[in-house]
Amino acid sequence: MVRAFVEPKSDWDLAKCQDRFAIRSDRGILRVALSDGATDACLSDLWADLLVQASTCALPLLDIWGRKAWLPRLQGLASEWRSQAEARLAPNRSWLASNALARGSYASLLQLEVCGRRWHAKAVGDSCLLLVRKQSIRRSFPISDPAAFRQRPALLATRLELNGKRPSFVRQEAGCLIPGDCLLLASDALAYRLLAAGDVHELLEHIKAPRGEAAFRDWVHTERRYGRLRDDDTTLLILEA
Amino acid sequence: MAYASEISRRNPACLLILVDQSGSMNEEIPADRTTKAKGVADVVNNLIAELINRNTNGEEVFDRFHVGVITYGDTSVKTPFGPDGLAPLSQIYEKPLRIETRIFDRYVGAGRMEQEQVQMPIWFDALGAGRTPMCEALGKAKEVLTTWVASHPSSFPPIVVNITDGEASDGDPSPAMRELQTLSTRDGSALLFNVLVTQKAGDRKVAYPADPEDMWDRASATLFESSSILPPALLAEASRAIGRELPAGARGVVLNASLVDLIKALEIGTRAGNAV
Repeated sequence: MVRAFVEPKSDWDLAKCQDRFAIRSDRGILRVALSDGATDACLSDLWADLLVQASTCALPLLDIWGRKAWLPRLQGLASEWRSQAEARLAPNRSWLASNALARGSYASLLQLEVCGRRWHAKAVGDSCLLLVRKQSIRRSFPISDPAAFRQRPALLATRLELNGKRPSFVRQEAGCLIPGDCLLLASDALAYRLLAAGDVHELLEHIKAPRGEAAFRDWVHTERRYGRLRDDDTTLLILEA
Repeated sequence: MAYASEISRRNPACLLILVDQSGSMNEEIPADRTTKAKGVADVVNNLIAELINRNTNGEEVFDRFHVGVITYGDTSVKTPFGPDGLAPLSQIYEKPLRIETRIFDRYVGAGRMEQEQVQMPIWFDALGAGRTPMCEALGKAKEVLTTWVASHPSSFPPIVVNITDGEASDGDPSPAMRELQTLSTRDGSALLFNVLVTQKAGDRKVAYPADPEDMWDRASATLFESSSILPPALLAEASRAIGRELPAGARGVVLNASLVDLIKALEIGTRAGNAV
């Protein structure tokens, strides 16, 4: 079972949140994806949504990185984004909408597949997977050093020429779960907070049922108020072995 | 740590641009085939449009910045964005004077250029007439920012960019420049950049100097002493902009700047903080 918690930026409602996730289970394989749309990109919620859907189908998007099918698949998604974005911006014929469409959209993508005890993750950008074992963070992927969050990450772009071509553009990691393990998928602001503190126990205790979602919201607001959590869309997915 | 506030809609940043519109701004910049007045007006109008472009998702403009322009020349000081001097981006977006269609050459690869029509909003027009009431403009800036810092105590401190091609005609501007920098939010004091726009090729350019010995006359020394020392965050941005590491103590001043240098200086001002 995967539990999901989402808290948008302050002064922002859930409908505008640019984090998107998808969860699919198919023939014993669990696929989970998290995408964080860039705040100042054009309609990045649409792009993030297309990416997570494409990452949880039978042939997940990042699995074809480096193959011939990669570019046509990404092109198809970008065209779909363009159609949806044009329809949504159609009532607004201003220079702003035209410029925004031309600039395109960007998002991170974290893709996870779990089959039995084995897990396999791929990522572009700074949404992170944390392996928690015996209440401590054992592994963090693709970023393990909090200082790395200050750099501008590579993102998946609707403008195809802006996507990386080097093998390191898509990172990979794999592992094995033991009973009691927990996999957390976190958007960057939350991932940074947890890695910098080196502790997830407090948060996980705080959001246990039944108050779960409300407790998460309270925790996020408190952390933002004290400057320990950047004011950004915050998403946490928890998968327990 | 100062100058560390995140820029957000709750705590917007402030960028106030002072534009010299005195008679000498009608002189041509040979390298750019335009006058200083037109070149500066284009740069500032473009910067505002780009700031709006960077703070929108296409549907909505996010008020992460409040922007103002104060023009001075022809013996008067004006605030094109209204009597308050500053306006949030969404309001600025709603009210350009007009939208112009301009044609630009765009490189499309394989050695080919294509012409592209671009819509360019205009918020204030180029003008060059009369004298240089810089002290009066700085006084107006202080008035505008006094109100703003009182309303935004947790915001990143205001950034003021003064664009001029010469000396003030209404007195020594140094006291007024120093007074501006006494205004502050909890995150630090207001920062003042001075950009002296060049008029002819061969003038020696000095960008973000740290050493007063680099100045060559009273006017340049005045601008140096009156410009803010760049805090670490802006020092890093300025170093990136000009492609070399600047020393601690570097000041926010560019002397004999080209229009490209002006663009870079304004960009530095908009990239302070970690806009979300």
